[in-house]
Amino acid sequence: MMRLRRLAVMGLSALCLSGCTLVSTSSSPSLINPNNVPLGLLNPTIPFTDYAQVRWVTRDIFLLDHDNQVVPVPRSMTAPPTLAAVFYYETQGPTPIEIANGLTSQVGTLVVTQANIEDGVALVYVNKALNQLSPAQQRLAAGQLLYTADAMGATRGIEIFIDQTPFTLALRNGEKVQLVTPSDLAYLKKA
Amino acid sequence: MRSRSLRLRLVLIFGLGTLLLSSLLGTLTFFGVRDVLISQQQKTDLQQSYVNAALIRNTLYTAPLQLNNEVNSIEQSANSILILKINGQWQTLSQLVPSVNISSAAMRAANDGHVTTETRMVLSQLDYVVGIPMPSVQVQVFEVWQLDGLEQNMRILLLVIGSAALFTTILGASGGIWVSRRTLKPLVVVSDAAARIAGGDFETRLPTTHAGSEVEQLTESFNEMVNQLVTKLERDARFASDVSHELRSPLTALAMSASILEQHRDELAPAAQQSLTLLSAEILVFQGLIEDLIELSRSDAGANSLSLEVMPIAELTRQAVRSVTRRLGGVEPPVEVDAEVESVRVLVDRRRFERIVANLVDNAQRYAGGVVAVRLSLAGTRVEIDVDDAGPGISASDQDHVFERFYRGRAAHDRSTVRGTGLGLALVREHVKSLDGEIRAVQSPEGGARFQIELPQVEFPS
Repeated sequence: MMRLRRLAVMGLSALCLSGCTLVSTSSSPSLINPNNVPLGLLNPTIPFTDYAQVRWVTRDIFLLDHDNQVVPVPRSMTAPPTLAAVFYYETQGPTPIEIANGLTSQVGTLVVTQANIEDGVALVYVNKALNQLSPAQQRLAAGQLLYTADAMGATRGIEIFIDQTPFTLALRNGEKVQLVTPSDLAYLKKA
Repeated sequence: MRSRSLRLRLVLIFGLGTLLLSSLLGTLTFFGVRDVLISQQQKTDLQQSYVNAALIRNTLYTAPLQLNNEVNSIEQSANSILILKINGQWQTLSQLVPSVNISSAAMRAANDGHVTTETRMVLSQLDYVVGIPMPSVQVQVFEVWQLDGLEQNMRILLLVIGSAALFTTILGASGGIWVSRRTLKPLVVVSDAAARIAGGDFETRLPTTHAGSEVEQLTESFNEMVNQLVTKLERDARFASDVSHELRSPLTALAMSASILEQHRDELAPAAQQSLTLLSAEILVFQGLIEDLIELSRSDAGANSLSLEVMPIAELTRQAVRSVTRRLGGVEPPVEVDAEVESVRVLVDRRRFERIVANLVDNAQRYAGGVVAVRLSLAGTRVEIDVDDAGPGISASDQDHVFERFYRGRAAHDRSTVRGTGLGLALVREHVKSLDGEIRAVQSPEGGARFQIELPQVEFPS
């Protein structure tokens, strides 16, 4: 009778304990045998090629700090990096951590449809969202694009087109320009 | 009490046995199903992670700027969280902090080029994390699958198994009750029959059943035992009766001789007169003993015929007390009758009733200084006749035995000069029983012994 009672208590205890850890956690990660990994995920090259690889490089995009000064921020992108790709990351804006650090952007609403460099001048084609900004915001947006393009080799400046039409930027002194040079917006960059 | 205890034990054994078995079975089932479910879930998640990683690789190779859209699309369709380590930097669309869900060991393993899996509990959230390094695009993909649904299923499974175990246990205990009832039924029948036989009903036999060979054997043995017992009792009674009858004739001759000698007592020497006195007394005691023995033998054999008639109990008692006192000598005790008893009638054999009263009065006179009072009262549907004596009372140990044959209590031993047959109270009990009554010896509130007789009153239709 005592043995029967003891067994019953053990059975109940096992049932109760099993409820505490319904799905057990692992103390250390399990490694999958490389031979069992499908789709060539562990291959050094892209499948069906024996050379193709994606390489990553770091390029700077420019955001605005709390003083509305442009500051460089690194972005990883596949090599070779194109101006359009860099502007894509530019228009993506700051990350949550960067936002927490006080960085902002005035190009978040822009869509860069095309961008290339000719004779040191970056030709940037954007949507009409740029027209929605105030002149001051347009100068900040142009400054971001200018210094980002500058870092990519467009050292003479940028020309912006909206629907294939050249965009004229009103500078702080009232002068209006189509080719925006680094000297026009030098005040946006910290010394 | 014994059978109830045995029944309780049977029910407990059945209940606990079922509980043990159902718990064991439930535990095994639970762990088995749990392992299968977890294994299948993780296998599915792992395969899906491989596919998702391949999609990310293809996107990075063909349209790297669409990476966020692709990740978003995967997360929405797979209901998982993707965390990417690109060029040494962590990237995720999720608001969760990546390093919370991925162990440093898994990160190291992915850095070393190993696909890893792990189940982690973080902030009450159970996650299955798959880490896939892809050297061709220099990206590590960590996909976090939430196992809350699985955990919920486990709880439901546990609840169902627990309920089933409980239900089975109740079923087992019910089965135990049913089996114990069926198993112990013959024992209850035997117990009742034995109790009836102990109460003097020697006609009792166990009915023949077909409840199994063991029960049939028990029934046969029991009935055979009762037959043997009855035969022995009848033989003993017949022997006592025969002996008594055989002794009566020579004893009568002795008594007649003693009577003749009594007529010539004056002619005898003083020593012979003393011997004659002794002889006559002993012959009287012996005659009383033989008469009592013959009456008991008749009673045992059921040969005593009853001459029943309906009589008022109060008047009958008064007459009996008066008659007995006149015959035995001494002071006539008062007969106290409750007013409600005056009209009560009982069905009695007058001779036996007088014998009952005579024996009780005789017993009181011999051993307890005589009868103090005889009281009649109603006790429900029965009449109670209390005969109180002036003695020291009957000890508790003697109260259960005073009606046994030849039993001599403390009072009889103390008064060794007074001699009785030892059968007077036994005869009283036999006569009371024959009148469908009961008798018991108790302590009187006034200090002496009280012999309490209960007789059923005759109900007249109103």
